[in-house]
Amino acid sequence: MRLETEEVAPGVSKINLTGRLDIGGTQEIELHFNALAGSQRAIIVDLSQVDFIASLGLRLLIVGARTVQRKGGRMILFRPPIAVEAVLVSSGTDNVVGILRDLDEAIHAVSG
Amino acid sequence: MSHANGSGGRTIPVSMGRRLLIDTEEVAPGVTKVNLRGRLDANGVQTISTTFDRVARTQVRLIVDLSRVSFIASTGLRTLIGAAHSVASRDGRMVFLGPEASVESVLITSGTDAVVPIFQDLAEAICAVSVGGVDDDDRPTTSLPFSLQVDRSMRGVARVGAWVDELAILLNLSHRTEYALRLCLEEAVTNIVTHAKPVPGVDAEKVGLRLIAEPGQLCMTLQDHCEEYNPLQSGNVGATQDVSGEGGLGIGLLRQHARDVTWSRVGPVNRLMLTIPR
Repeated sequence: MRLETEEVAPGVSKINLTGRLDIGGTQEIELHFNALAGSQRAIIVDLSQVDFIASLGLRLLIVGARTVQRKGGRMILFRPPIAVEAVLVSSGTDNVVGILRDLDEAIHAVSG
Repeated sequence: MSHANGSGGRTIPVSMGRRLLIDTEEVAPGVTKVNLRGRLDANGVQTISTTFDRVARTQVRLIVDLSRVSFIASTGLRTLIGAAHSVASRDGRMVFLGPEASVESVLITSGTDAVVPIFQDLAEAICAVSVGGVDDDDRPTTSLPFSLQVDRSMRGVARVGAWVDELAILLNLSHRTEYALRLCLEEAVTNIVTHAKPVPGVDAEKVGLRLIAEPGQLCMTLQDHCEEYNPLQSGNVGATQDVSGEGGLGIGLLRQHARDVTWSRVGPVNRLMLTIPR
């Protein structure tokens, strides 16, 4: 699992994840991810290169989203593949952190 | 040993090792009985493997007579399971005959008996491997068994992920089936690792997984030797409630990707079973 960040707009971070958010993958990135959730106020989590997610990965996203929200910020999930989106929806994760597919819309949703 | 109704006679022993003997006989038309005598340990397996593999590769109705086998170790088990694979892949049937108590116990604890049934009576064994026998309607025509034992730890969970990678290729699983399998196994094993408690004095360091691949579905069994613990009690908790790691979210996801999810306590063992459609 790989985690990279880029600034897609002033103050807006996009976290690009690549690989499987299974137990191993989640553990590999959780420290970095949690640190970002604790320090950034506008986060877009790009899931387009994530081909698997299960409960541990979901928890990482949910806890991260709540951390950001608690500090007055916003987080959005971006372009999950169909299989991943199905799990996000069936678990109700999308009620905690929204899903968007357009980058401008996502930037707008997490900004100011 | 008795011969059934005027069928062929015994062949001479074809392999003589110090510890394990093998010979074959036809006990009914088209039904081969392989007789093993001695210890099915690593050395024993080596002495019989050529003959045994050949028999497994060519026979479709196979009875493995274990009545004179005094000991079986994991190498021996692996050889037997490999033979079962081989026979099943050609739509054949294999059963065990007459294992003594200690050997039978190994077959049951390893779950091998769920894949290769045990009979104590030759006539019943012949019936079971023959077309038109008792099982004919119940058993699927092509079912391949796969098994894995992992440490009851996060490393074990990681190994399960690698096993799913292999199975996806071996069984040519669709993307969706592979996803469901990976998710269900990850959730189930994580649950066992996180919540099951070992029983004092009982070795509970392994989780056993057995997959039976049938044409339309994958049948999965997971076993551990911990204290009685039913992971399904966690219920189906959604994301808005469960972030505490109690397992509800995981089991909820599992139930969405599998059907016939059941848990039972079988002697000292927790057994979780589920079916994933293909």
